[in-house]
Amino acid sequence: MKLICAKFQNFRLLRDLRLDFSTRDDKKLTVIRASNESGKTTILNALQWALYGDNALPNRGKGYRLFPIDWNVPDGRPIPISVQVDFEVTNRYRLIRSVEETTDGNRLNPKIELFELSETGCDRIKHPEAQISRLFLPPNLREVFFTDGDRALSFIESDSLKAKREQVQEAIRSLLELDVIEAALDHLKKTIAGLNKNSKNLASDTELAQIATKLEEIDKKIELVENERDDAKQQFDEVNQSLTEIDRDIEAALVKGDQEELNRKLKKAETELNRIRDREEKLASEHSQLFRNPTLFRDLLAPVLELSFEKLNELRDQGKLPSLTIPVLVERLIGVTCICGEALDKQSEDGKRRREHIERLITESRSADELQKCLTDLYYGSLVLNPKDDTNDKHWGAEYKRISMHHDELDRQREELEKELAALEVQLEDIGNTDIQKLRSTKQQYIAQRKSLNDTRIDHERELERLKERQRSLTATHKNLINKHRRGTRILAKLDATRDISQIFQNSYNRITNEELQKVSQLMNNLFLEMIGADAEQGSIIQKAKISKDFDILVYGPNERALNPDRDLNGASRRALTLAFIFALTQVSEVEAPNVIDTPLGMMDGFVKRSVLKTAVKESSQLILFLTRSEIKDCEDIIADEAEHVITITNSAHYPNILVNDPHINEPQALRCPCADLGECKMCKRRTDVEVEIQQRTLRNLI
Amino acid sequence: MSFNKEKMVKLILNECESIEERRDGYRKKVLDAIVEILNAEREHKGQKTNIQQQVDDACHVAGDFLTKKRDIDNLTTEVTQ
Repeated sequence: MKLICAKFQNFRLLRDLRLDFSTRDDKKLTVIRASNESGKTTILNALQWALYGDNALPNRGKGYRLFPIDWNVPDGRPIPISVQVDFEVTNRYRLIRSVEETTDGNRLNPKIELFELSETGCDRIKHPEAQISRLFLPPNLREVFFTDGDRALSFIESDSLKAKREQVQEAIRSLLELDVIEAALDHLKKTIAGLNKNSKNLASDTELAQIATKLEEIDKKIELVENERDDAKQQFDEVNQSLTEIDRDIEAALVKGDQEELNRKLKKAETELNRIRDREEKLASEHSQLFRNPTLFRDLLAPVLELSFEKLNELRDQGKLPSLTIPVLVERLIGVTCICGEALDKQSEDGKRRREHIERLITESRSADELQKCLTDLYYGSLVLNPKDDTNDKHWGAEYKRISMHHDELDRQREELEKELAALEVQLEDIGNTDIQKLRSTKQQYIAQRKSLNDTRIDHERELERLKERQRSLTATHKNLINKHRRGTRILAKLDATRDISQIFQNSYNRITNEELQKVSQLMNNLFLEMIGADAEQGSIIQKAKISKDFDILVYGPNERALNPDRDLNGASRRALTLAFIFALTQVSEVEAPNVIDTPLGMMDGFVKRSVLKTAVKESSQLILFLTRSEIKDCEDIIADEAEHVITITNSAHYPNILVNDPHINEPQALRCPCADLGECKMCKRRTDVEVEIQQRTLRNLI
Repeated sequence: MSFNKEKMVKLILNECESIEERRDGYRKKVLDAIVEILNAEREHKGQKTNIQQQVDDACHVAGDFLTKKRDIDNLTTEVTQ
């Protein structure tokens, strides 16, 4: 199928536009050059709407306005909208889809007209809907051939692995017609069941009827077990998907930090901090103990003490210290004789009198001796501080140094731990409510569920194997009996033919899913590596890409290390991979259809951009690209060589900010200018970025 | 052919070789039935049809061909005997 031309009337910005597409085999490329907001995506949507109807519009057309937004209809008349597409499928056809839309979004009088074009004119084709499905690509392939550069990335870029897999699977199944074969196999199964039932109705032979009944039962049983197996497989896939998602959640949570592990670390750090605080307390006690060491005082007070000692020694030398009066008198009182030799016995009057005298002397001396006593105490008490007497004392300096160093060390450790604790608390706060333990527990449940479902599936497979063996045996007996039965020969022949047909479909299906899928995978790899200029032998980061049997697009780096296309590939490589997949699929399926791609070269530059464009031209049967000027940059020579048509579309509303010349059109409209190459004309001449900047500044200043 | 029908026919032709040629021209009839079923399935995808009946009919045509051929063979054998 090739698109020849298209005409748009009142489809959003496309009020009146005609596009001609390249159809030559040696010039397959059509370039629609348009800046942002000039109608590229609108053209893509309009083409799809013409071919596939409202379902092809964004959100299946719900809430998607078709008429130009500034349309002003005072009388509320509906706006006529139409898209005409001429295309070639062996013969030439013209499709016109039209509708009327009111400004409040109601669509009236939808119409499709299909004509077969000939040299002499055109013939209207009756029942166009039925013919369209025969002539066009099936709707489920629409997104493969009509590709929005961003949306197409959903083949490799999606939050859900299941969604990606389904996208890829759907594309492969449709292009390789696996869905058609599956449907045929299903219907053939029913044909066989119907024939078996008919053979039962031959009736005359009881044994034949019994066998036919058994075959019928076994057919039903097989269908039932197959359904159960498929259910189990589907559930298995779903659980597998959930497992993948939960693994991703765990991985994402672990990137932030394992809550359990963090709590463990937090507790450890707190214990360590408490231990350090205990040690600090103990050290503080040792520190204060150090200040009770007399040598510390002695050394600290040495200059003052020296003077004191001098004075005390002087007093001692003068005999004023120690004060002996009271002790001598007290000593006398203990004895019976006074210093003077007189008796001090308590029995005699003289003794008593003398004792009273001495006691009086003691009392009188006591107050006079107070100062002297203090000095004496000080003298004797301070002897311990005498520097000459320090031989047995451990020197406090070494101890002080030890305590200080230990204190500094503990201080440092405490600070580090406090920092660690603060960091852990921040990490824990960041994790929020993600409970990794719970996720892991759920994962375990899924694993158990998956195992159970796998066991169920295996059981079903074994049961199916047993039933099919029984079916084979019964079929053989059945066949023999029918053979003997004259009336049954016709049914037998039909059964033989239907089983052969079914076998061929089954073999074709197996071949497609194995060999053809392998071919798509291999070709996608070749195209992708070629596009991004990766050479596995030169040790490039991207070594290969493949499609797994589960329809996952996988990318590998060195040492067979898997790369995640979502995260590990840059934007250019992701687009290249998507396009490689689409082209490989188209090539292997040998489908001849146009590849219509909106902004395929976004995020690309240099080698990759040129390489992607060259490969796209090489691999397409007809290539229609919607490109911005920046996408075209550095690819002008390729476009000049490969494009039959280069069409420039300009939005009239871009005057005066972007366009230099006034197009003299009052409403916003996508305009096709006379440019037939990548040059500029009066209509599409644009201001340079500098000019736009100057103009905006001038405007700002004026305001 | 607008779609990849050629590709599918090539594949099926290849697979047809693997089935027994039960009578002269049988494979050709089976191939016709397959092409008919494929077309019917494709059409059914676009617009709902009585697909089961169409599949049954296609198979029965191949089966009837086989019956006729077998009957001729049986008759020939009986005549020869």
